[in-house]
Amino acid sequence: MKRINQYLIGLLILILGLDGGALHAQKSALVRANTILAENPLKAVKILDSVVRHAETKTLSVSWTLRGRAYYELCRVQNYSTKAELLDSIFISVQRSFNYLPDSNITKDNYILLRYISKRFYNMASLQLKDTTLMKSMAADKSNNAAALLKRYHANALTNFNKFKSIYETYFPNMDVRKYELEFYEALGSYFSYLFEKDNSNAEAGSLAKSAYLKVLQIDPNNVFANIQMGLLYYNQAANIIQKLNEDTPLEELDLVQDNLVKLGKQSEQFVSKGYQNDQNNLKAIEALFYIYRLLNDFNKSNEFKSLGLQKGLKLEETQPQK
Amino acid sequence: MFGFNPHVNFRIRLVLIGVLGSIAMSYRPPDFDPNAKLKALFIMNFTRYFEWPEAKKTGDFVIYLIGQNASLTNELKALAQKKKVGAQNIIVVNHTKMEKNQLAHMIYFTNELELQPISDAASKLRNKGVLLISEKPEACRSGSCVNFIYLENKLKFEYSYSNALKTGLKTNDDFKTLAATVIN
Repeated sequence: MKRINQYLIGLLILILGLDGGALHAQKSALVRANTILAENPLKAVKILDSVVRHAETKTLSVSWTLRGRAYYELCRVQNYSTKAELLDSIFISVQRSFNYLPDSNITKDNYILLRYISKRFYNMASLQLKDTTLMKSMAADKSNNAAALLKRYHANALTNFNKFKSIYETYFPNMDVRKYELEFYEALGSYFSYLFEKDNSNAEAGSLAKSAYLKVLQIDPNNVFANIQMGLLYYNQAANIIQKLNEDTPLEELDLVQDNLVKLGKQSEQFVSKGYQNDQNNLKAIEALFYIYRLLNDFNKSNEFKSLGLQKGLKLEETQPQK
Repeated sequence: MFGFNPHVNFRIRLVLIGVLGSIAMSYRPPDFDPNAKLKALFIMNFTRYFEWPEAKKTGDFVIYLIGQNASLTNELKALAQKKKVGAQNIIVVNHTKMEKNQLAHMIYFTNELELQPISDAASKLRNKGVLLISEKPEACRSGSCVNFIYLENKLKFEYSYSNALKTGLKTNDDFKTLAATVIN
């Protein structure tokens, strides 16, 4: 409270030291907005939106930071769906505040706001990916809109994450954004892998999963999880092709189909082997390599990984017919 | 300039949710054997390229699978429910050993069996109209009609035209062109 009073006193001194009229009114508005921020953020926002449009106060960093603060308070009371826009408003306010040479206190507050919005953006991106109810409903959605929804959903998650990343990289250059980037893209890949697994005709989901894992591998080429997941996407793509074959598939076609299967199998092997090289105790890699070499009809290697898997307690016998 | 500090209680309590990786779903390979499915499709396709003796054109079309291969047996059974050979329903039977008086139209010998049971079957079933299928090197030289092989990671087959004739089957020349190797 003491510091608020100091701030109010500072504002009042400034107002008294200046000419009256419109400028005085704008400064008073600033003070008024500051006092009602917490209790009535919506009203504070309206006042400050007006203040930052006024010629005399739009070049004051305090106007913009206070506006950012008002949006921050509003963010805490508004419903979730509108928060992205509110966060954008905070960000714009902080950027503008920096343009008008803020003093150290305002700078400090700008950084507090930046930390807040960057984290909110990150959490929003990750919360979407953690929403298993939404995930299941998307997996079950066979409507014509499903692909469009999927793209929009993907775009939203990416947009939120990229905003987080951009703020971190610009304003917190000493922070390591890489670990969040890896974490986010791994989760993004898993999300779309899940959708692809539930509906293997959903090529869009498969493609989005691959692009997410490739992003992980771009950052960390030896990432075990992403290498294995990429490999499994290719393997499952091959398995899906076989699953779709029916009793009427002619012998001639089987040869052509196998060309494609071998290609996919080798792509799969390339990724999973790399994952395995970096973690030879990884059960998922061992299991995947057993399946991949079996798909490639390389039974020596398949048996090698089968023995290894059995030694490590994996159950690798598959007897389920195609559904 | 203002000594601006909006609120002392203006603290960001938000913590990055973090460890998103922990929600990474376990993406597993499908729970079926792709090789078994392919092999079953090959076997079902073989029915199109041979003509069985008149006596075997009635009743069920029987495929015997000798040895152990649960995945293949299941895949064959699944396909048999959807397919017929002419008007004949397809029945898939699995035995661990060769039985006497086989009335089968096709007998598939799994790869863990030695060559001897194949050559025994070839001599016993001469002119009985039974297509012998195997998955063993040199099996065509032991009497098998069709033998699965692997070339460049692909499932293919070698075909013994003469063994097929010996079992009393009428053959289709197109089949030769589909085989990786034709053995006479």
